[in-house]
Amino acid sequence: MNMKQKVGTGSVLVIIAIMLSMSVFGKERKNEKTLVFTVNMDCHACVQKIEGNIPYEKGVKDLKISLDDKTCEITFRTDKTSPEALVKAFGKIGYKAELKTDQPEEKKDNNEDHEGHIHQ
Amino acid sequence: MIRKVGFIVIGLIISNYSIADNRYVMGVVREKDNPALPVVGANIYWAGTSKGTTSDSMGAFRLALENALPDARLVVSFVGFRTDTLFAVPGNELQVLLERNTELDEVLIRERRKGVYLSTLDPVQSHKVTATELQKAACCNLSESFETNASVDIAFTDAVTGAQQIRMLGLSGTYVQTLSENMPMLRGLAAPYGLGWVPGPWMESIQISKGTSSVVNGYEALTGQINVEFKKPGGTEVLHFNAYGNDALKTEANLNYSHSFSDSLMTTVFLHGENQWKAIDLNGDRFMDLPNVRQINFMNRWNFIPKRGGHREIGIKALNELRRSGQVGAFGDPGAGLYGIEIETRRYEIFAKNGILFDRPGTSLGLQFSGSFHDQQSVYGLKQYTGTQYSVYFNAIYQGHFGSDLHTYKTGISFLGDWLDERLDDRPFRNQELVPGGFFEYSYNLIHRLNLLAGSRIDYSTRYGLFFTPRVHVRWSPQDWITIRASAGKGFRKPLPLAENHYLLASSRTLVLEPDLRQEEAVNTGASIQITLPLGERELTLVADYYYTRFLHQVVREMDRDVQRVYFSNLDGLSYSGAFQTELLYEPFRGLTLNAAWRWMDVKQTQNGIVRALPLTSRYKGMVSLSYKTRLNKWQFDLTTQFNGGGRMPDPDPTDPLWKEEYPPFTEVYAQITKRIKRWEFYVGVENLFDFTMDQPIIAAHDPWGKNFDGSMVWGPVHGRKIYVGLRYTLHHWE
Repeated sequence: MNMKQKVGTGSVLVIIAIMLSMSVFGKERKNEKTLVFTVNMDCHACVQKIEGNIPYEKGVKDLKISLDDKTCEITFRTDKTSPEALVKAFGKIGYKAELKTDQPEEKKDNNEDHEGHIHQ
Repeated sequence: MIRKVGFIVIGLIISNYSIADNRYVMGVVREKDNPALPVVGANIYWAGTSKGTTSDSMGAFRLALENALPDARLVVSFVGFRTDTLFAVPGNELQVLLERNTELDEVLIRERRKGVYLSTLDPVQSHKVTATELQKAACCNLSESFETNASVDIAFTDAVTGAQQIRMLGLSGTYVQTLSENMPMLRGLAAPYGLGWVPGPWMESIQISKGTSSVVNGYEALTGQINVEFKKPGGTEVLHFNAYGNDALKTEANLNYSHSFSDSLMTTVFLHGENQWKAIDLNGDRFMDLPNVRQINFMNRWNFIPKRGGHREIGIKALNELRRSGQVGAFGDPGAGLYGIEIETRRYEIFAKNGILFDRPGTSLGLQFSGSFHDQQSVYGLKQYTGTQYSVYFNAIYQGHFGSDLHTYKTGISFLGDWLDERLDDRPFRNQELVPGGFFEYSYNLIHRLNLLAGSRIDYSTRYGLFFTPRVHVRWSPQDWITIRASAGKGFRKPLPLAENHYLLASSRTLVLEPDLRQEEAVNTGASIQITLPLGERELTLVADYYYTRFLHQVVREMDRDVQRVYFSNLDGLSYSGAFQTELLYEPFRGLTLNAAWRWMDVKQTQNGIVRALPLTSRYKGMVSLSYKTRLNKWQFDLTTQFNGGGRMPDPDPTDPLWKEEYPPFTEVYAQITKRIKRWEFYVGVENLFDFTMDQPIIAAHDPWGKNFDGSMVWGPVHGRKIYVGLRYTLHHWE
C-alpha cells in the first residue's frame, strides 16, 4: 500500500466510524423525553417550514412529522426546554400546536375514531 | 369482525341503492368545485389492494367490505383530479369530492427523505434523482449529478479538452435522449460539453429511464432517457445562493431569485458563473490536467397560471463559455510554439409551454416549443473548427381517456428542425434536417397492478425519408412487494460525427468520414424485477434488470485500423450491447441509507469485418454509496465508492506500441460532509480520494505537433484528488 492509498483508506475508515458513532449516540438518552403534538398544518410547505425551524429550538433532539396525522413527535431535553416552550415555538412560526391527549405510551386502539382524508 | 361492522355505511339518502346493505361501502363521487357534477368512471379501491370498483353514470359506487383489511383506507382516483384517500365513516353515505388537478404533469411525487426514488408505478423503469440527492455531491453541473447513480456512467472522452459524456448500458451518451423538461437538449454541437452547461443549483430533479421510452418525446432515445426538471417560479425557494471552490483553484457561484407578482404571474432568474483561475499540471506532462473554463450562464423563466386552470410558461437561456486547454503557457506566449486549444461557445435558447385543460375532466392539451442558436469557434493546435447550429422543436400533446382512467391515451404531432453548418479548416459541412411527425400512445392502468403502455410514431425526415417507431412497456405487480417490467422498442438517430466528436481533433489522428452515412437505428428490449422486502424495521429494495440493444444501422467510430486515423463508417455486421444490473437499496436504521449496485456489460461491434469488444468500455461497473443524516438533519455524511472494470484499448501500433492493449480496473471514492444551520448549508468534500490517475493520459504529450500525439486514449481520471468547500443559502417564501 502506498502513501496515497493509506491516506485514502484512513479517511474512509474515519468517515464510516463517524457515521456509526453518530448513529449509536443518536439513541435516546437521559433527560430526554418524547411527546407528540397536534399541529394545524395542512401542506407540504408547512412540513418544510417546521423542519427548518423547530430543530433549531433549544433542547430539541429529534423531530418526526406526519402530515397525514397532523402531528409532530418531538424528542427534547427536559432540562433545556418544556412542552410549553415548544408550543410557543410553533406559535412563533404561525402554527397552533397542542400536546396530544393520547401519547404513544398509552396510545389506544381507536380505529373507530379516525376521520378525515389525506391527499396522496 | 367487529371492526368491519364499524365500516358499515348506512345508506339513508342513497338514491341508487334503495336498501342499506352492511356488506358494502357506498357513496357518490362528485367534483369539488361543482358538487352537482358527478365524476363518472372514477376508480375506488382499498389502499394496497387491487379490490375495487368504478363509479357509475351518477357517480355512485358500491364496494364489497369482505375484501377490505381492518383499518383500510379507501382510495378514490380519476384522471385530471387529485387522488383522495379516506376512511369509510360509519353512519353516512360517503360523499367524495374530488379536486381538479390544475397541473398537467402527473401526480407529483412527494418524497423528501429519500434522495433516490425508484418508481414502482411507472411502467417505464425509472429513477428520480431529487434535489436532496443532488446535494450529496459537490454537484457543480449535470455530469456530476450521476456520481451516486448506478445506471448512468460519466466518462471523460479525451484527456485534453475535459469533454464529458454520459454512458448508459455501456453505450455512448449520444444514444441517450437528454431532455430539458421533456424537450430535447444537448443535441449536435452541444453534445461534447453540454453536460457542463446545466448548473446543479438550477435543477429540481432528474428522471432517468432505462431502455426504450415513451414515443411522446420523440424517436431518439435508443438506450435510455434523462429528463432534467429545472426549479420553477412559484416554488418554495425565493432566494438561493451557492458558492464553491476547490484546491485546483476552480470557483463557482450561483444565484437564483424568484418573484411572484401575483397568484398567477411569477418569475425566476438563474445566474451561474465559474472560472478556473490557474493552469494545473500535476502529472508533469506539460499539459493542463483540467481545462481552464470560464463560463457565464443565465436563465430567466416566467409562469402564468390562468384563473380557469392550465398554465403558460416562457423562458430564455444564454450561455458564454471560453474553454482553454493544451500545454501550460500556450496562451501567454503565442510565439513559443506551444500546443493550445481554445473553444469559445455562445448559445441562446428560448422555450415556451402552454397547458390547456378542457371541460371534460382528464382531457388536456400541452404545447411545447423550443428554439436554440449555437455558435462555436475553436482552434485545436493548428486545426480550426467552427460550427453554427439552429434548432427548433414543437410538440403538441393531447391527453384523453376512453371513459375512465383505466384507458387513457396521448396523441399529437411534432416538428424537429436542425440547420447545422460546420467548417473544419477549409472543408465545409452542411447538415439540414426537418422532421414532422405524429404519435399515438395508449395506456392501460389497472389500479396499480397491471399497466400497458403501447405507442408508435411516424416521422418523415427530409434526409432519411419515412420511418416508423413502435414501443411497448408492460408493468405487472401481482403483489405489493414485487414489480415486474418488460419493454421493447425502436429508436432512430441522426449521426453527426464531426459535431459530436470534435474533441477528437485534440490528436494527430485524421478524421475520415465515409460519405452517405445512414440514419442510426436500433431495437432495445429489456426486463426488470423490483422486490421490496421487510428486513428488520425497514424495507429492503432489490432490483435486477437486463437490457439488450441491437443496432440495425449504426455509424461506427473505428480507431483500430490505423493509429493515425479515426474512421466513421456505416456498420457492416453485428453491433449490440447487453447489460445486466443488480441494485440494492436499504436503510438499516433511521438516517443511514445504503445503495449498492453492480453492472456487467457486454458491448460488441463489427469493426473492419471483425466483431470485437467496443474499446474504452469497461466490462463492469460497481457502486457502493452510504449516506447518513443525523436525527434533526443538521449533519450529513456521504461516501460513495465506484468500481470501474477494465477493458480494451484501441489497437496500438503493432511495431511501435505506445500504449497497452488493455486498461486496468480502478476505484474512485467520493466523500462529503454537510452541516445545516437553518437557511445555511456548509459542505466540504473530496473527489477521487485515493488520488488515482492515469500514468500517461496523453500519448506523445512531449511532441504535440508530431504524428503520434493523441489525447483520446483516456479511460480514467487525469486529475487526482480534489478537495472542495462550498456553501448554500436558501430563503423560502414563508420566511
